[in-house]
Amino acid sequence: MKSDDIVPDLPDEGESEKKEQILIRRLDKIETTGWPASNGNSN
Amino acid sequence: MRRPRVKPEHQPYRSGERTVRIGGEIYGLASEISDPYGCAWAALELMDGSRDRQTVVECLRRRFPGRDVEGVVDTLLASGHVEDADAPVPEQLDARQRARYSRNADYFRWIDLRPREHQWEPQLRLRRSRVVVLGMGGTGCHAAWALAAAGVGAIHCVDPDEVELSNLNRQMLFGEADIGRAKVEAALARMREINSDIEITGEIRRIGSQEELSELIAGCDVLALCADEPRVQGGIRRWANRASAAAGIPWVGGGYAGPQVSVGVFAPGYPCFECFLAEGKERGHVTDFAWPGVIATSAGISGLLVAQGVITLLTGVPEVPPGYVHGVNLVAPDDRVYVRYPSRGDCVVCGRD
Ligand SMILES: [Zn+2]
Repeated sequence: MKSDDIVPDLPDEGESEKKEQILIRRLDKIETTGWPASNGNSN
Repeated sequence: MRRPRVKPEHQPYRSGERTVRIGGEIYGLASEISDPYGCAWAALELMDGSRDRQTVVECLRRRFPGRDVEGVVDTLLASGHVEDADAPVPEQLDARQRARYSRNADYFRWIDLRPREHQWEPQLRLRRSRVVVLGMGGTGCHAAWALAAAGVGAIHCVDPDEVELSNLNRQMLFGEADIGRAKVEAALARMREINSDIEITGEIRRIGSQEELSELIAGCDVLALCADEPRVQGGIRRWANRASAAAGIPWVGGGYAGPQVSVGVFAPGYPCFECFLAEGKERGHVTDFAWPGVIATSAGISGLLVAQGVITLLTGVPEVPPGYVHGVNLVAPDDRVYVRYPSRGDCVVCGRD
């Protein structure tokens, strides 16, 4: 699975500007675990 | 958004010097935020529901002069990890319904990555919806139960048969006292016990043609196909595919071949069931193993995955494009069933040629 950038790089800005931008990307499958380990603590 | 608050289920943590993880550890929800000068972490700390957006921005401006703190804040607000602590509670849901569906609302808040006016939006969509459940066997019972429990506003159940003793290993809406009773009648009674706040109707009926199916689903929002008969003329799934396409109605179909449970989620504008069949056939797959062996778990997973597909279509949460078949293989836990074929250009149902 390819990660999917939610916020793309901004165009036409200097490289240093770009480095300043925060970027959110969804984690890849291999970066996550499959163990829920909870029943939600709910009745 | 009046007073932004990081969703409690999405509690962020630092995963490195310049990275923040948010949304837990679940694939499809969790994100990593690159945070080159600490502003994202600071913004998330400020977003505790006690201040408005402007106050968050001003606090950050003082700490990070000259930086694009508004850009950081707006990126986070659009990310789906933040909710509005001041969100209104919709008037359409009274106290009883808010209590009944409170866990739904928490669940939807957790998995919904679109910024919303309030966390009840998916629940309101369910409430406005009408679903036809065709077939009240192992799959249909579980599907209908889940849709009723989740709060789908109107559910119409259809089946021609009566309850038999051999149904009770998996058809969870029925008990011994129902043996000999029409399935629809028994199912309606049980579902109304579970949720009297929704409209539950049904008819004792066998669907014998595509035309009859078209008539049955007219005006509904989603068809849950939980029957596999008749198999003549291409079978009831083909009728469902065509009747749904003609009416512009999405549909979900589920079933099992012994331990392999699979469910298809289809909608107009996406690759259809017949494309799935044709592509599979070309690849040499035999798609129909109709043997009677089934147990409570295989039937339950099948029906619950059908309900999940229906809920996804009705609410748009999660945002997964239709046109896929997925499921589990109970004899091989490492075998995740998932198929998404492209639409075939020559398909008479969804093709564009
Ligand atoms: Zn097609």
